[in-house]
Amino acid sequence: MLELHDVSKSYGSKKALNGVSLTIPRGQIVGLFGENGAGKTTLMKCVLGFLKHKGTVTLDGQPITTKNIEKLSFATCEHSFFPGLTPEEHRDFYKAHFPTFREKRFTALTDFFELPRNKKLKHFSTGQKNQFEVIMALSQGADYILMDEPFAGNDIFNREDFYRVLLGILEPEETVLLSTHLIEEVSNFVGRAVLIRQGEIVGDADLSELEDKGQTLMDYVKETYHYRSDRVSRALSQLTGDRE
Amino acid sequence: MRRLEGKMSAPPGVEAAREWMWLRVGLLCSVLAGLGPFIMRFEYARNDLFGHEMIPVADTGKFEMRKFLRPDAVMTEFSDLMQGLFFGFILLAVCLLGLLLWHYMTYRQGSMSIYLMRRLPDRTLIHRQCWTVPLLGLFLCAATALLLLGCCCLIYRYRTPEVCLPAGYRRF
Repeated sequence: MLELHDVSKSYGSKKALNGVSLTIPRGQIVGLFGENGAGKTTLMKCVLGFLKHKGTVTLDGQPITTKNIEKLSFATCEHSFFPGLTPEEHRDFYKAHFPTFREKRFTALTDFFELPRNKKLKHFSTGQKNQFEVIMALSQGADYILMDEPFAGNDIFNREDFYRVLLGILEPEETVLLSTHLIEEVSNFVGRAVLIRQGEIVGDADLSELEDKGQTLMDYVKETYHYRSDRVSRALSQLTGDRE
Repeated sequence: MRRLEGKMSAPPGVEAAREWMWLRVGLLCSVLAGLGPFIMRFEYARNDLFGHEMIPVADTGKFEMRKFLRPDAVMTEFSDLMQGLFFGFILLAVCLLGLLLWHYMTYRQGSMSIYLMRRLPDRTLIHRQCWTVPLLGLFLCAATALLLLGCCCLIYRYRTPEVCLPAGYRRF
């Protein structure tokens, strides 16, 4: 279980996270949704220990240290691979440093997405880089896979393929925390939606419960954000009125 | 040396062997840049210890040049001759410090591989990768500079006529 208790993070006077508490049991696929600047990336970086923060983050009851850090993997739109290495070299690196590295999964995914094995990552296209980033996060052998907008720049077919593959290969004990703007696309993939706004959790819903209520994920998000569906038409009528 | 090169570590994607090669080139250039001018200054100073006179050659009517050690000639101080001896090494050391900085920067260039390094169970790996070549280079710089200094001392001591050595050098 991944637990965040009262996590706060400020950048100067700006509060990026404000007393966030969240519990993610093993085996859940959690979508983390929020507008730009809501605190999604900051939350993930606090979990991974990249940022100093107030509050506590524990993994299966223990603080995150070098002894259990390999239980977490991370795929980010900023990319965390080595641009000067090839996929094969990355495989060797991961094998050397992560004892739980899943070589079979790595081989199967790189073959499925037809990624060149002996070409340096810096020569990959953006879409290929995104694919490789997610492949490494999935192949590390971690129990908790954090993905921060991993599909930015991938085409719709690529993304659809990835969701299907993910659903197929993830084991029951593997936990995914996925932050994305693509709410409608991932609604068939995630089992739980956590909404974050201005550094605070504003919504946390189980998708099967929403379905029972006859509500879609998008409806839930709009309701939680108090989205005014008429704001566009009102703005347009104001603009066209001014023009006349 | 090859075994050492093989074990040397550098940030992933950076060729340690190439850095090692440039380090050797840098050391060689530093030695030449220090030794060359020293030898020139030394020989010039050594020539200054001698005078020349023309003496007649018996039964030929010709003259020949004779070199003689000038009385009370004293060799220039070693400290004056070794000016700039270490310039190349200092420059190389500055470059190695720059290399160290660049090594750490590579984890933020082209991607944020620093995130991967910070997730490794072995937190010292990044520092070993960044420091190995520069630290070894700085050590070799210092050792080579000292060796060069030793060679120059020996040249000064044993190429200078004993009677011309400044006081304090004769015991050495």
